[in-house]
Amino acid sequence: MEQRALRRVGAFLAIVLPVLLIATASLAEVDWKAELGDHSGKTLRVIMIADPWVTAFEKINPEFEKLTGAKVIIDSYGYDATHEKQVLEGTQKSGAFDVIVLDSPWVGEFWEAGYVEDLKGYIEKTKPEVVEYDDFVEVFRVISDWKGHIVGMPFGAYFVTLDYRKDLFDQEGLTPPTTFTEWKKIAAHFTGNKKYPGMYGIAMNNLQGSPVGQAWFEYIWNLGGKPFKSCYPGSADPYADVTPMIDSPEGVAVVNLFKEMLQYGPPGALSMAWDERAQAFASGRVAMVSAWSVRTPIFLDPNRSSIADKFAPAVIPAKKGLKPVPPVGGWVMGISKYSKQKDLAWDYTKWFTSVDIHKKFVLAGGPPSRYTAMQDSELVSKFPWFKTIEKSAAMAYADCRPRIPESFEIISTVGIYVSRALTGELSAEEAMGKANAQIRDLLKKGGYNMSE
Amino acid sequence: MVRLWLNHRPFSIQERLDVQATSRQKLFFIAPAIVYLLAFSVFPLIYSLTVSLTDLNIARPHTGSFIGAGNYIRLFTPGSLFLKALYNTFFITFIAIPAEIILGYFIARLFYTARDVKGISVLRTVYIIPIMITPLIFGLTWSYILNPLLGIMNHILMLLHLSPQPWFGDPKTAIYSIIGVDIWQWTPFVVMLILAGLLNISQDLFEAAEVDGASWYHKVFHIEVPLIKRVIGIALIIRLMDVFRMFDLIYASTKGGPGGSTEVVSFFAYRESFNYYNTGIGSSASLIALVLIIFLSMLFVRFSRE
Amino acid sequence: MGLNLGKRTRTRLVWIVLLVITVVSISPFLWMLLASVKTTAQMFASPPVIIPPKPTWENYKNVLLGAGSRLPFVKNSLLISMITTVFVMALATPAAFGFARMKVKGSQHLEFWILSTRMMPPIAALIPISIIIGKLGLFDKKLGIILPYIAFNLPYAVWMMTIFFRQVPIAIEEAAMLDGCSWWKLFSRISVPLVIPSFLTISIFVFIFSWNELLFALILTGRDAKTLPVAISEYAGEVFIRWELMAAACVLQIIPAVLVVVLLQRYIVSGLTMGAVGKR
Repeated sequence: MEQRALRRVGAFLAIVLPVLLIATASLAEVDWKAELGDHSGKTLRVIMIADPWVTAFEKINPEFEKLTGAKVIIDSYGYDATHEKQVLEGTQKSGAFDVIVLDSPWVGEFWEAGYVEDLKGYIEKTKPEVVEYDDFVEVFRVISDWKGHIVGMPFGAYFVTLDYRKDLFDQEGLTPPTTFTEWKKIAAHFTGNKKYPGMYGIAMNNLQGSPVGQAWFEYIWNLGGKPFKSCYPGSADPYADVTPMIDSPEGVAVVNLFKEMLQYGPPGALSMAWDERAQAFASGRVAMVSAWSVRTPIFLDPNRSSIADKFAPAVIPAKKGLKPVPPVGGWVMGISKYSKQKDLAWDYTKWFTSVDIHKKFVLAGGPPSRYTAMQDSELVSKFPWFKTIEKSAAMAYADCRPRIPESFEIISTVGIYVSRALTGELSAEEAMGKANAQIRDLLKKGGYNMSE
Repeated sequence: MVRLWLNHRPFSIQERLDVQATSRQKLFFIAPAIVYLLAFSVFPLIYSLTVSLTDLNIARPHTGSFIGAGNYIRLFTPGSLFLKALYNTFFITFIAIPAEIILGYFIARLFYTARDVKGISVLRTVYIIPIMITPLIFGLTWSYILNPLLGIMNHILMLLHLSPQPWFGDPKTAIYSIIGVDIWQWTPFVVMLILAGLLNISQDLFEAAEVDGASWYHKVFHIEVPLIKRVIGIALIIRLMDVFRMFDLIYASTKGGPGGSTEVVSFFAYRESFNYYNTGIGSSASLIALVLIIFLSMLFVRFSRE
Repeated sequence: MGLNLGKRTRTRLVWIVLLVITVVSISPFLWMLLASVKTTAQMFASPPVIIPPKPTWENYKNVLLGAGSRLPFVKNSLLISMITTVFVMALATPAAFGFARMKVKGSQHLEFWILSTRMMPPIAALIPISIIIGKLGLFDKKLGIILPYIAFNLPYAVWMMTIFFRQVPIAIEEAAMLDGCSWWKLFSRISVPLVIPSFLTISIFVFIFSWNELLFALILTGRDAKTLPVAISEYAGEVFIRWELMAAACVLQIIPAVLVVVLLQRYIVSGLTMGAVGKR
């Protein structure tokens, strides 16, 4: 008697369940054909950074063309050039680009200057399941919000991870460092080591200007310092009191740390930036690199890396006793205020940053910025390092780099002075002192509140 | 200074024929060009001067108030990057140019000596090709050649058992690398000028000296040098103006780094104006550069008049 | 020079030395030429591949055709340079004639002013000009960069053409005027035809200066009016710098320059020193 009942229940379930599953699956899927307008014959222009993900964009964009008839053209540039061109287009009120992909520290600048649209209005007009805004990593959502306005869709979140040669570490019986002392020891161990000829300890962003300036803002937190008085994790308003503390003991310590690590870098270490240090790691010349996660796919690609199966990422180290604050950065997708095709631009933006397409983007090498992507079983099995990303995301601080309009100049200025200290022209104290004075002037001109 | 430039005195048909040209006729010919120039060189300079007295940042609204000499003071504050840029610019100028002149002289001498050999004009033509090529291409080409890891130069050094250099990547070597590239590109220019000067010297003078039994020393310093002094002067002025304005080469290779060791005035002005959009400071810097060049040129002309 | 060799041997030796110097001088371009026909893998090879066993045209194809084609920018550069040249010469030639043949008060000062514009660092003019062009709504339009280019080359062209007009034997023109020729007729029917070779030479120089220009194009163009030098500079800002593609683009860019040197070598000295030196 029981057996027959069970069998009937089983048969019932066997029929109903698949139907239910299919139904819910199709409910979750967005009908893009209906959602996107018809833009045949139009061309959408996108301007963005020339990071490794450009190929991912180019792979996916034809799908958009099929859905809407609009062609998507991407112009990509180096870091400073991207900023320069985007601001230039803004000052010239040029609608040459419809979609602007901007770096997280620039959100304040672009909003205050009036170069981008407030996406809040667009999001409210769109179906929530298309946008799924809360699915974006929280810390990155905070970043793309400037005074209540959403400057761009937070689709390209990067975190800095310490990528290390697991094979070599295992061979030497080492584990990834959690403190800077261990970090320095390991870097020293691999430099000039006869067992590993031609190998060096670590490659870092030392190029003057934005690269090393950015690096300063990555490390200041992990040495227990802060760039501005009211800017620290947990602060209610990071910019309430922007008394600059560039020349604080911790600020100087960052410079001295960089200087010390120069000896463990390969020749030309002083001019390395994001690409060169990644190249050095990918070609097997250094044992460690603290790189933005966007480059991890390069390390995994056997066509571009000789260490594809030999490395692993870890959370970055911090000063002993401190909890690490992994730097968060990355790019948000905004719409130019001067675009003459804002509807098309929004269609593209919401499509590209949606859950489904974002997954495709991540599969093609893009950085995961949505929780669904970071926890998707298929993706995690392919990219086990997502676990490190998730851990880092939980500890990151949205304002680790300031997002005020003066941000680009501040970071670049710090970068120029750090560089002058690294070359030995100025002492770390002198350099940071001068940087602090210049930044103080800059902030005073901007009318910010400084208590000292 | 115009007299130094031209070899002959200007003259007009009007003066010789006593033909009248009405003002209207003169204007018809000359005005379009002059007006155009006024619009695009005088007005911009006036604008630049005005803006340099403000704190304008064209990417930030609410800026642009008058601050007098504020920008200039900031530029000349000890330890500022601008002062370093000035120093570097002078450094490059006063090392590269003498090197180009001296090297150019010797190579021009060689070309002069071989001037009757078959095929010399082909060689000469090929030799001066670099001068018409934009410095951008030079900078990019050399960035590749001097790349510490991929470049052929370090490879050659290693073959010769010399140590590889960081070239553009190290503050101690970067500025010399820039100087080297500049010399490489522009020595042919100097050669070309000096050669033209040498070729203009009448052979009779030399033959007379030979007959008199003059020594080599006498021939060079008492006949040749005075006659080519003018040519060298021209080369110097042109090179001075060009090196001081150097931009393309820096942009294509070091972008002022590392550590500001190759920061030059033009690049500083560019960065302030188009990376930070501090139009006020950028204008101040570029005006200072302009004044310096004019001053240097006048100084030189006066010095060469004696 | 104390060597006691015969004169002929000495000159031969010198010739060989010059050959070496010349080859060394242009070796960077030879290297770039080689790079333009190598593959990406060959560029990164260690030890370096000097001469590729099988030169590839892929790089040129990549630069000129297909998705990443830079051809539009080549076309931009060509068009911009040509139009600039036409307008420069159209404005400069009458002005030069006026300076050369008419009594213009204060022409010395004007001429000095023209000479002084050559001293100006481009960045000084660029800042205000970029604002003016922006306000005129000409940003990223070919006209927006042609106008400044004309302004930049006009002084040079006026100066040079003035020199050339002055070189015309005045007797011919005097005769025409005595016959009752009007100024315009004199200019168009007699003087200009007499300076055609120099006219063409200066035109070519103006073309090359526009073709080579970088800074103004960098700031005044965006996507549509971008010129070839700007496009080439962008190769250096990419994720993986594709040196071989950049080399191919560079080779294309220097072709006009090389042609100019080869064809106009007689006039180069004069052309580049604004008439101060060399054959006129």
